[in-house]
Amino acid sequence: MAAIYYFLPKVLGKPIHSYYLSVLGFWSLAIFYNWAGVHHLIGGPVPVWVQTAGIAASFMMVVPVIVTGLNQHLTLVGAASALKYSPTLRFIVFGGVNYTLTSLAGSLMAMRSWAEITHFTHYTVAHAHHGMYAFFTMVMFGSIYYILPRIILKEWPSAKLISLHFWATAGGITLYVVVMSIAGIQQGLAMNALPVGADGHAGSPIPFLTIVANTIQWLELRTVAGVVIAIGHIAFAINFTWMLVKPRQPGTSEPTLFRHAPDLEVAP
Amino acid sequence: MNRAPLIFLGIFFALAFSWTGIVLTNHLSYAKLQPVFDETEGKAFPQKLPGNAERGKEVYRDLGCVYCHTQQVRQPGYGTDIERGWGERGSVARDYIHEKRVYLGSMRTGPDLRNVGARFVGDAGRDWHIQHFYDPQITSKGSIMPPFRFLFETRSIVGEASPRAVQAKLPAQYQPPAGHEIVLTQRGEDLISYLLALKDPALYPEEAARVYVPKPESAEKKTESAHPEAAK
Repeated sequence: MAAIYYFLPKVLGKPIHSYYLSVLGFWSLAIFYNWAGVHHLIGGPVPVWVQTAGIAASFMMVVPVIVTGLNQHLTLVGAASALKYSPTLRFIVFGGVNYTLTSLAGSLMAMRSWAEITHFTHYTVAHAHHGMYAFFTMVMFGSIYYILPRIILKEWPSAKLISLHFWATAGGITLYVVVMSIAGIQQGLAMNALPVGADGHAGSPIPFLTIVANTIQWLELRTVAGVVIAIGHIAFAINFTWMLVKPRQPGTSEPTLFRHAPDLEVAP
Repeated sequence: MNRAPLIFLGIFFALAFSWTGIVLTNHLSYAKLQPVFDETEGKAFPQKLPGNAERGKEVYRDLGCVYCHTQQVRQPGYGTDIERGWGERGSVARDYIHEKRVYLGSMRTGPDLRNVGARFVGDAGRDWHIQHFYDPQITSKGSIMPPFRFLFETRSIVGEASPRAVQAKLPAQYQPPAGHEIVLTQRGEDLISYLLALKDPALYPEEAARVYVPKPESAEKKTESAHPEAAK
């Protein structure tokens, strides 16, 4: 989160939209987030008041999430064309958008009725990867693209590899989250269903192995998504190694951008 | 950073607030939970695991069973754990008081195991686990659990065959070459002891007075709907 707040204004060359919103976001996050983890124990053998406190805190998380999302969006407004040029910005904005999405989904998952379906299923796995990869990892990639050239005084060798890295990881994790969410919701609904049996009574749960069999197609798509993400990582590794071994160019250099950016050019 | 003391105090308060709420108060209330002595049986429940089962619990931890199996039964009316035969009642905190590490789990790639010892009992249960660990397809066709064949050892028979050989329990296509036998390793024995011992006692009187018992009308529905053959 701090990386987004740092790199967004830095890359765009304009201040963050509102200092006060960011402070509000920080303190509401600091107070509510610590309590929110308990929503993973809903329905479990822990005191009900603790679960309820966790649910309330998870819902209060909407405040910092909306505040942060608005603040970052309003900073980007009017300068969104920079997304065409800057690798750092593209990763960071992708991460920021997914922070908002995964956090709102997390608040939803804290509802008892929704947790009854999604808890213990692949939906939770999708949510965990949404937060840890689509938000955190992507922001870290963006930060590396910004920091590394300034530390080792070399530019990234290939804009094409950065582009491949971005599209493979962004596409891969999106596919991953979508298929695992669908798998989890189907799995949860099937687990809780008590279809009407031959005797006319609602009551026989769907056999566990039938549910397992239905998830396999989604798990195969998950593997596809994982392979696509791995392709992105290989592109990054090649670019990174190439950058380390290539000779340092004398004199001034210009940053590796996706394409030539006229409005970012410094007048001679 | 001229506001450093204020920021420090704010963060300290935020952490202390949540720590008090979800760590301290819960530890205090869990510490009050005691085993309940049942006069008709002359035993205190929940009971401690026997020693070999306690070793088996370490194997359970070691093999990462917790990643795919939970050990918590949801309350009646919340999910279908009871209907699936995963327990006669929802799990309560008192069930776990003897456990240093609690494997509640968060994912059900496989079924809940909190009362697996009530589903597979005695020698028949042990045989089921042996087949299932050797290849889950023997007992559960279509399962995505990997075989745990490293819990077994295939070795040549030197002198007399071992009394602990288990190949007689396995179907024909799993038989070892002539002059060889399959034995369960100590880790396998321990793990199966743990799974056979893993079950919670009947509801404690104290909890029975609280919210864990289904309301009368839903209790009636539940008895109607309990299909023991779906208990897998």
